[in-house]
Amino acid sequence: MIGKRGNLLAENIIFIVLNLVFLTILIVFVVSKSQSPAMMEEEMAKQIALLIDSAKPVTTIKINVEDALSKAENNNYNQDIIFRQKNIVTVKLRDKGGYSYSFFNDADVSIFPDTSESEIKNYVITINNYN
Amino acid sequence: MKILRNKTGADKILSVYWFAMLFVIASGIFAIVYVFYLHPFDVREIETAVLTGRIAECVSTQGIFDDNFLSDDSGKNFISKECHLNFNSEFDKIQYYVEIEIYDFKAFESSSNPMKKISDGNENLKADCELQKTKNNNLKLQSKCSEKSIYSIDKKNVPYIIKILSVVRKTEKNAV
Repeated sequence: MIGKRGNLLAENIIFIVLNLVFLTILIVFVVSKSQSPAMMEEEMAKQIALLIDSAKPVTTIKINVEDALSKAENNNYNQDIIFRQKNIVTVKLRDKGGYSYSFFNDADVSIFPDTSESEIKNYVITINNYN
Repeated sequence: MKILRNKTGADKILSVYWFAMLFVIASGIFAIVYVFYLHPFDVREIETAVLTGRIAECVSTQGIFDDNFLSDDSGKNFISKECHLNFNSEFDKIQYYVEIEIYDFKAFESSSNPMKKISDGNENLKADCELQKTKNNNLKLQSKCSEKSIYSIDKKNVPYIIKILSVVRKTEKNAV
C-alpha cells in the first residue's frame, strides 16, 4: 500500500503542473496580443488624427510616447515613430510595420520629438495656420 | 474482503478527457481573443461628430451666420475651401461627404424646401445614411453618418435653421 500513495501524489502533481502550463500559455497569448505593436500603432495613429482634426490654429499638443518608444526599441527601430506626409499621419514602431490614418484639417501640421529633455519621452504636434 | 483494483487506471483515463476538455476550452479562448484583436478600432462616429462640429463653427461663428453660404459662388468645393478642410486621404476615392441645408426659420415648419443646399465630397456616400436608418446589423460596413441642426442669426438678425450632414466612409480602416 505504501507504493500506491507515492504514485497518487506524483500523478496529482503532474496533473496540476500540466494545468498550470496550459493556463500560463493562455495568459501569455492574451497579454501578447493585447500589447502587440500593431495595435499600438493603430491606436496612436487614429488618436493623433482625431486630435489634429479637433484642433484649431495655433495649437500645440504634447503626447507621451514612452510606451511606444520602448516597444520600438524592443523591435530595434531607432527612427522617428510618428511622422506626417501631406494630411496622413503614420505611426511606425517596427521596420516592417506602421499604420497610417488621414485627417481632414487643412492646416500646416508639424510633428517632431520633444528634445527639451535629455531623454525623449514626448512628441510635439503643432497646428499652425491654415493652408 | 473485496480488493479494489484498477482505481488508478480509471483516474488516468479520466485525465485524458480532462485535458481534451481543457484543449477545447483553450482553443475557444484563443479564437475569441484572435478575432477580437483582429478587428480594428472604429473611430468614424467620433470623426463624423468632429467634422459636423467643425462645419457648424464655420457656418455659424459664435452664433453669427456667415452670409457667404447663401451667395451664388457657393458651388462645388466651397465648404472645404471656406472651412479649411482637406478631403484627400490614403484611399484613391474621396471618403467624406458633407451637406449643408439652410432654412428660413419662419418658414421651417411649413416648408421642407431649404433656401440653399450646398454639398462637398463624394456624393455616393449619402445613400449609406438612408440604409443606416433601417438599423440593420448587417450594414456595419457602410459609412457612418452624423446629422445636426443648429439655429443661427445673421448680422441683420435674420434667423436661420441650418442642417449639417457629415459622412465618413474609411471602411477598410475601421470595420473590416
